[in-house]
Amino acid sequence: MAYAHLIRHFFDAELGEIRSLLLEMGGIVEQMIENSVRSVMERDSELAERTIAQDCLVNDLEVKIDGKCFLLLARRQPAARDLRFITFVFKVVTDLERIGDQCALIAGHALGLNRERPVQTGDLWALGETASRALRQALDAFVNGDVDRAALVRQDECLADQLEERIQGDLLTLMMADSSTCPGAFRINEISRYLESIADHAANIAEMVVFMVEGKDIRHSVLRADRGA
Amino acid sequence: MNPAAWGMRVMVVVLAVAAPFIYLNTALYRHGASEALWRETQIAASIAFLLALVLMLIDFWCHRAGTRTLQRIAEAAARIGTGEGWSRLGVSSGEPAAAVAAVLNEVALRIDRDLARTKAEKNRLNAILRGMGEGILVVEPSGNIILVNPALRELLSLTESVVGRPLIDISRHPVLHETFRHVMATKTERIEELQLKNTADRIVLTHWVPLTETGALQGVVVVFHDISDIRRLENMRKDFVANVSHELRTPIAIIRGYAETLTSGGPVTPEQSARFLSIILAHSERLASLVGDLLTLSQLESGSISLDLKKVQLGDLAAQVVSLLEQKSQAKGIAVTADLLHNAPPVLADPARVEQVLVNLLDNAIKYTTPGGDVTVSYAVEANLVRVGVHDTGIGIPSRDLPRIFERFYRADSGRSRDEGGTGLGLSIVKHLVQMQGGSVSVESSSRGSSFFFTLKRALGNEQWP
Repeated sequence: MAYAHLIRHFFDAELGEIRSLLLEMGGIVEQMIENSVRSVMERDSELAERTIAQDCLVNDLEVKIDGKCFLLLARRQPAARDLRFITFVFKVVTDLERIGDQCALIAGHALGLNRERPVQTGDLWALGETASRALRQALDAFVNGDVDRAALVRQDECLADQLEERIQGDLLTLMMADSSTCPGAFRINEISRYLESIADHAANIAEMVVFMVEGKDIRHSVLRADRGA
Repeated sequence: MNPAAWGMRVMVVVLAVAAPFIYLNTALYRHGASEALWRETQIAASIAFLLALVLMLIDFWCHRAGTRTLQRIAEAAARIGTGEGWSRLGVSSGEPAAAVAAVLNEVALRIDRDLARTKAEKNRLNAILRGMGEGILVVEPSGNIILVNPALRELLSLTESVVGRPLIDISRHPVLHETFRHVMATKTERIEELQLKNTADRIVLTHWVPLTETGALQGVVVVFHDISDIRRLENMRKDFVANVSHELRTPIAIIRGYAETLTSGGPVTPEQSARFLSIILAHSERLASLVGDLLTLSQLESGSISLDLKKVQLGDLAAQVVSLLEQKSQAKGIAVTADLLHNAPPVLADPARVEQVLVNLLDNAIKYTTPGGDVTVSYAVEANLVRVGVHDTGIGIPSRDLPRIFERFYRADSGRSRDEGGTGLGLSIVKHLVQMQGGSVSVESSSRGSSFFFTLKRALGNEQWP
């Protein structure tokens, strides 16, 4: 009895460490989103370079967390809630790493944009805010096991979709009016696509939070409901 | 005393009493004593046994009394140990344990006093922590939170209880964790600036102090100062100086350029010189209005303007302003409606200042509304306030700029605003004028237009004015 308790204690400590590492990775990625968008809006090349450098940190953390999860799976064969947690971590780490990559790409475009004439960015700032809020909500939901907050992320995902569409419409008008804006507008278009995809990744994380807390898989539930009807 | 010891005692006494009588018995038997002597001896033996028994009972009783006192002392001491408190021991001075009891009484009294003092100190500390404007966070070396004060809960908008949870649960800011690790490793103080993003953007200065006790690290205390307001003011001041010089330089450069052309004596046709002069005039007018606005603003900010509060009918005032701006609105084909205000209850305000507010707001509304649009003035009564709204069907203001729109020289779209001949000070003046009269300003905007609101106090009819 006491021995089992001791094992549980070590096990919890290991899970706690993985949880902390995952949140730390999330924190870095959150900052990357913010900094990458700011490097575009404020034409700050130095900030863009810093953001690109941060991507290595995120990649290292991904490898580290994956390794710890594998070790835990092999050594302790977790079940039920703990298994759900490990599965959650595996998936979320991948999402976070993808977001990190996309931020680095945005920062890369910022460097490119800064070499050219400024172009109108339109709602890009709002889209960046939405994407970063989506991830913040998703991670907050994970911290507190808050399913209601996880549900809010989907709203931000929809909003991001709309904003992306609007930005692309504006860019099209801009490019048709003045073809010299094409290179810049093209980059802005790419950035808006990345930001929209970041919001999607955040929504994935939120869905996984629901799975971890309630053991219920809500992925693609809208699609399934449509098909059922 | 245990039963075995008591048995030994009884045996020793019995033997001590019995031995002389056994010896006497054998002596009497040897010498062939008389019957009477035998009986006397037996009576003596009985008395001796009886006396011994009584003595033993007395001894037993005395002993019991002594032990009971000791037992009481032991129980009381145990109560101090468990922290249940101490009731004063009453031991009469004759008893052997009296000295022990007296010492214990004194010790207990001191402990009680110390406990009360510690409790009071703890309460005081708690009150200080609760009342502090700065956020306080105490983290143990493992990274778990020991203490969070209400100011920090508010700063980080925490809703759940966080004591006992890891540091990462309250904020995922990378700098926070990096600094924590650094302070834990080096055991040195550190000051770090963080940009927190919860419900609102906040700039926070954090002061990290390691908690060491006899060389061992017990944790880290972090003090959070919210410096967002200070930083914003700093930026505003810097922006202000830069903006003023910029706004002044542009018209001066233009005036100078044209004046130089005119005085250089080159070939300038009369039509050209007339055009140049009109440009010079326009820009000197712009300079004058800029300097005028700046003066008004500085007077407003220093509070040197006195108010002439009166009962004011908003409807009449608005009608005046509308006719004042009629030329401008008609030129753009914009319909300005302020008739609704005729039904508004009278307000307590300085009519000249309210007029200035309305002129600035309506002028802006006309400027930013595309030809053929509408500008409407409405009102709403809220308790003892009247809320006036100026609505336009213009281009709207990006949501990002809304919080700063009332700042001096803040322009949502600087190029366009300057083209319209604005000084960038109008809304700032509006804000000051309204605040001076005890009201507040606000703004709402969408892509279909903007609405500016200001509140004024209702004149209730029983005010006394000089």
